[in-house]
Amino acid sequence: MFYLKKILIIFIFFLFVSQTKAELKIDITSGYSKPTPIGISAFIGITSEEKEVSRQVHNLVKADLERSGLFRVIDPKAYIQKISSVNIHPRFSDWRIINAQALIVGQSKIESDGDIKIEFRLWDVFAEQQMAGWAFNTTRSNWRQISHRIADKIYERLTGEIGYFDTRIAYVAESGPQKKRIKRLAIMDQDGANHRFLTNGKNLVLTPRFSPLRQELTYLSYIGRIPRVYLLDIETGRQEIVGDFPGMTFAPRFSPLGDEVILTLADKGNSDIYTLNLKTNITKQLTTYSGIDTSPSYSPNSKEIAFNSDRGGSPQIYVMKSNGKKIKRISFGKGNYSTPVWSPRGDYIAFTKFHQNIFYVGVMTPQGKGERIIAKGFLVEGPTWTPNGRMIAYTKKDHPIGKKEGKTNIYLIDLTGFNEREIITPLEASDPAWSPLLQ
Amino acid sequence: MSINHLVFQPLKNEVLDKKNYLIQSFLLHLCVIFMVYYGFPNIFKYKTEFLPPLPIEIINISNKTAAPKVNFQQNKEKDIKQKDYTTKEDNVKYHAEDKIVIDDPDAIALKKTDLKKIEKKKIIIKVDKIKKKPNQLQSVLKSIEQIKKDISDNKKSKKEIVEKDEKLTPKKLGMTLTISEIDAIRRHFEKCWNIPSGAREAGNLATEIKARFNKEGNVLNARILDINRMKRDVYFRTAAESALRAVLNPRCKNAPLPIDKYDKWKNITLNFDPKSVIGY
Repeated sequence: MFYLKKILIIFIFFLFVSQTKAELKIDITSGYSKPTPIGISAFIGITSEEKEVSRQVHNLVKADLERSGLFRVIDPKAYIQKISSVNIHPRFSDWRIINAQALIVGQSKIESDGDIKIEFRLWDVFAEQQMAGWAFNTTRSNWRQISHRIADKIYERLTGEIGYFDTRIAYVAESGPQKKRIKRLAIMDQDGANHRFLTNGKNLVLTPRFSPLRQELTYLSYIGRIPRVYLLDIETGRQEIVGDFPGMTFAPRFSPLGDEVILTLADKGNSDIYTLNLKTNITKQLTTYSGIDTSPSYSPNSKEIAFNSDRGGSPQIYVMKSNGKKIKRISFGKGNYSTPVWSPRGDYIAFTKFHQNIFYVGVMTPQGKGERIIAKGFLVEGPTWTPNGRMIAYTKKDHPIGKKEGKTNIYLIDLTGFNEREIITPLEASDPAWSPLLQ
Repeated sequence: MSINHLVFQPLKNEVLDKKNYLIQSFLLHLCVIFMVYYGFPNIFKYKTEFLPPLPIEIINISNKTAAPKVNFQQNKEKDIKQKDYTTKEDNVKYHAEDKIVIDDPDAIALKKTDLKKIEKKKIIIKVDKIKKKPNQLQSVLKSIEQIKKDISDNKKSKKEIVEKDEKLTPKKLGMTLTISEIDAIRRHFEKCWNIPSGAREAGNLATEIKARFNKEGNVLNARILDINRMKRDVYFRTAAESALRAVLNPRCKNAPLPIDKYDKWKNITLNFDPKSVIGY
């Protein structure tokens, strides 16, 4: 009896193996890359105030998702079903007809204490299941931030990347003629709202960089006509010099933990890279080459640093260990490379390249492989990553042949080189820096 | 005194000549060896024209070809049957004399009613003949029986041939999907797949979707095979969901699948791999 059972099991096993072997397998190795069509049903509200909040939140979520370039919100006129509650299953067939691959439904309520409660659900239309469902409580005035957070949640669930809508951008606002340019530090939400200036324009400012942890900026300023690196507390406006270096300091950037600033010190014609611990004020020299070493940028795990050096005869990108050892050149293409910026994801280094009077912004792996140009023009430079490492913002200036030089502005582009769009600022803008996610 | 005009011939350097002969012989042999080895140069050779390169689409070919081995024993039997058939036909011609002639083998496939009519005719005719020639009665009766038997035999053999043909037709020979059929399915789903471009580690996001189809080529159900990785890897989850959406996309209904091979494609595993697209 026991043997019979054994034989039967072996027989079933072989039957199963032969069955699986016979099954057809096809490799799909190609497709298309277009914004995913989604439906965002009008957010529900009962009272007039709730309706107003719902409208505002709906519009902001829609604008954020569309601006990312990864989603196309289907025109509401095409919607067949009118959603009346977030707590019922949508009629998926109605949304499949209009090719909505995901559906967002939401509603807002005014609580008894005056706060607002916003609920939303994200549905996978083809799989007919819920992908995410959240509820947020906040004060009425905070509706913008909540809307950005809803957009972040949706973006995160659909792409696998963390969202970047609840963030801010610091940049250099430019005004006046080219010879007498006024440059001020400015900050705004990533969608252009809540814009304000941080400096008065009396002193030239350059290269603002966000702290990864605090609402703090490090930047270069020519106070007293000497270029030095400063720290600025965004909330209080308090400003201080970073370290006590003998020469000019520039090209600052925070370490991933925010406890150090890495910068370049130029003294007697020699530029080297230094770190300054913000707690202990201890400085450490990392490079000792007699030429120019500048533009340092930490890897997200703090173990390596990418920087720019002319030690090979022309400006190129190098990578070294965080103690300054094992220096290795990674850029080998034609032209001069500069401003390396390590992606927060760690998989790419963005750079500026200059070759035959044309500027390029591109990316390559930390090993120097897979170089890909994602933007080029009369002037494109100073790339900065969104906190999720998916998009790159950079300065761009056009100069069409036979015409005047164009305006300097900030542009945003997807890592893949698609979906370039301008970030609207009140004045001309350059040197963007993206904040981490707001807490 | 006349002086003969003497012309002195230059002295030949025999040693030098011998050397020259040696060198010439060596070179000649070398030429012969060279030509034997490399062939004679074609001085009338036409100038080569380089044609523009043809675009070639590289298609992955299955490990095994589709056609099973043909059973030659069956073919032999078929040949034998066909031979028998022709001999019987000849017999029919012979026995039926000048009255019944079945030249066209397709006539065998005539309707039963037609056959009966023919048989009746034959009988009538033959009865007339019997009256004229009574000594031929037995042979005529035999011939009628023979005709009946032959017709039924022909029907049977026709059936057998058709059955055997069915077994050996290309349908049976190629019951596995052909490369072009597989390629058509691939292209069908490619047009519905929105690749998660720009995703991290896109080189390692291949997703297998097991789909079950109905006979119209529509997906009855589809599921992601690596559910465990879905739970722990958000990038994979995104890639897998995009693949699943491609399979379930209503715009990818009616996959171009051959109905006669339904058993072969009712369950397909589709492997969505963005690696080559993103260039990793």
